[in-house]
Amino acid sequence: MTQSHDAGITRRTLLNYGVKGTVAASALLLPSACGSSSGSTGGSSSPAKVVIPKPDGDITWFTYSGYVNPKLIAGFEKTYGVKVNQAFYTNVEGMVQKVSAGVNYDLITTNSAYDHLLIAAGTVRPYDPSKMKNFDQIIPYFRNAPYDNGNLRYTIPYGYGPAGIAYRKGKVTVTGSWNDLWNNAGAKGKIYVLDQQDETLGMSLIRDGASPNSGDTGHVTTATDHLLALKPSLGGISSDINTVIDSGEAWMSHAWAGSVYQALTKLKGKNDWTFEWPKEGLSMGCDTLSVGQHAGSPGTALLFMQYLLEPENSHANTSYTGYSNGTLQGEAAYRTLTKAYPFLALPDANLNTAQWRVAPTGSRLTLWNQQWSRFRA
Amino acid sequence: MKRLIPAAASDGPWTLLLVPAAGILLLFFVAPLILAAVFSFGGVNPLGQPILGFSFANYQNVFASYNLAPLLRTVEFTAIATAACMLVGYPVAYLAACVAKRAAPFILALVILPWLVDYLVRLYAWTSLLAPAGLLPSLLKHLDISAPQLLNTNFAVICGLVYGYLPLMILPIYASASELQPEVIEAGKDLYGSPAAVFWRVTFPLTRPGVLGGCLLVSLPMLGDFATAQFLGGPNSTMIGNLINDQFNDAGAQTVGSAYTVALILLLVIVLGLTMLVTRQRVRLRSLVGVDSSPRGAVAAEGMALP
Repeated sequence: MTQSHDAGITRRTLLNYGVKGTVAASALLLPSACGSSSGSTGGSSSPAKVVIPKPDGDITWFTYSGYVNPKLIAGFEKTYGVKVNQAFYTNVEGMVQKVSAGVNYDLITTNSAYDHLLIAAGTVRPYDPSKMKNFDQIIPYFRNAPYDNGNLRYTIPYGYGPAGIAYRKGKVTVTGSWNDLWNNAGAKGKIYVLDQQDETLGMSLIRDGASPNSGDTGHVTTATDHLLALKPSLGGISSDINTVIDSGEAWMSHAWAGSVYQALTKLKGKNDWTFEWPKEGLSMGCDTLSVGQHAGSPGTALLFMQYLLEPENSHANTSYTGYSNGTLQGEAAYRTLTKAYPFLALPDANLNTAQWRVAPTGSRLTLWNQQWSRFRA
Repeated sequence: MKRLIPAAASDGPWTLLLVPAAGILLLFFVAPLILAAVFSFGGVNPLGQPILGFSFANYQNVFASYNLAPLLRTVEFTAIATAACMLVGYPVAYLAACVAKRAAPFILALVILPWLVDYLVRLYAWTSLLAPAGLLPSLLKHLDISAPQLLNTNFAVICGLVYGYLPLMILPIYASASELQPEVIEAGKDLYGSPAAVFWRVTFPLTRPGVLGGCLLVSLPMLGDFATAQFLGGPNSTMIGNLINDQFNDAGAQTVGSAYTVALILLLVIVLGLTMLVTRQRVRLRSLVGVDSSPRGAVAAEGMALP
């Protein structure tokens, strides 16, 4: 074969350069894409400084879309002369990925199931509750929550509404138990469960008398077997409660109280629906607010958290989002909101016995993934 | 050595024009694939970030027996939806290319315009259409026809897939049919071929490249689709794409999701490779028996002597 002496690019040279370039690019990307086994993100190894609430610049808030009363944003911006920009995510896991990758959000809507992990990894910054006005607005249940119980605090509660069972009156038989999902053969194809591993697998575990955070292979496998037994009766596995209720598809659905409230406010036949808090217990989760480790304006971020805790703001926010926020005024606002739907108010007895969800890690993560896939398949 | 780019074009600064495109491809297409392949052998830390390692544990999850059902279901949905796309798309493409040429831009616009709307928005529209209180069941009820459950069924998923990917079938067939020479079809008719015979012996073979291209364009993304089954499917409509989505967006297990992704890509490569192999074999056989691949040759190959 004669070697070409022309300057033209050959297929081989192009491939050669391409492969080398791609491997180099991948190698460059790898360190930023990978984490350490401890969960640390490679940020500063020194303890994060305690944040003081004071305006120190504009902030970017990483949160769900439509999850704040826009009047509160406008009011804060006007009062303190700073801007609150919002960046959105659609699921908690996506939030955790970005936050732990070191993206420099000032304020983050975190979640109680992941808070202990985010705190341990140093991805959020602490504040001193004694320096935080309105901290006493937070009800004791959330002030002493296990996900954030140090001398310094990292989070404030922002929105919660555990899952129970929403159902159409007269269409199904209920006994105030999770068993109701299983014991309504006449509603075949009209029963729904949430498309969320921790909620649905956790619910089945609670029904079995186990912890919703169980890592026991026997418990989790049995709970999955029970979900598989329920599957022939299911019309769907969906977290889109609004659509499930509004479209007339469902007679009974495993559902978050807040989502049911939102669905019923828009539904013509809302008097047909009601809700029960099953007696076996509930799994608990709460959206929380935290200042990001790499915040450029941590003071403003904490100031905004403090601003949201102000009684009138707390009331206005719950009235807008439909989710109680763990503050005195937030709870009052929720009670007002749900006057037309008293069944959505969470009784203290259920709240006090609810079990906090903890995100699975390690072998529990593997076990839960396998069993959830088995159910979904 | 065979040149990829002619010397005249590759000499001088023109070659540099390749660099941005190649760079973008490498950085945003090939490098993520390599990362996915690397991660598929690793684990995750408590925050769900990948940790490098070498273990087949993630692949054990992928090849677990319970994943066979969604795999077969995915292939089944894809095969049915691709066939339906072809049945629906071929007449539309043929009409635009050969029958109503002047209306072709309008027809193609009708095909493409809805496609420009976000896929999720279109799926929500389908939800409203098929829900028990939706448009279609209401219409059937109005006509005193008892409507079966439509939403949250495999039927709805297949309808959604067909609707979602139909333009990808129509456009290649249109391109292929546009090159049809009317005189070849006329020749078939002159040789006393019935309309069906002319179609099957002349028209379809000549548009086969477009059909094949359309089938590939439609079926490959369908194999990885998850939104359609998520919005329109029931508890037994889970596709492989849903399992991948679960791993990334619900379970916080990127490495398991990466293993699923790599396995799916390998499946797609196998499908693509087999298709290319069959096509090449066919071309080789035709050249061995001396069949001309031109339109005239196609007519002749189907046993009709051309004048």
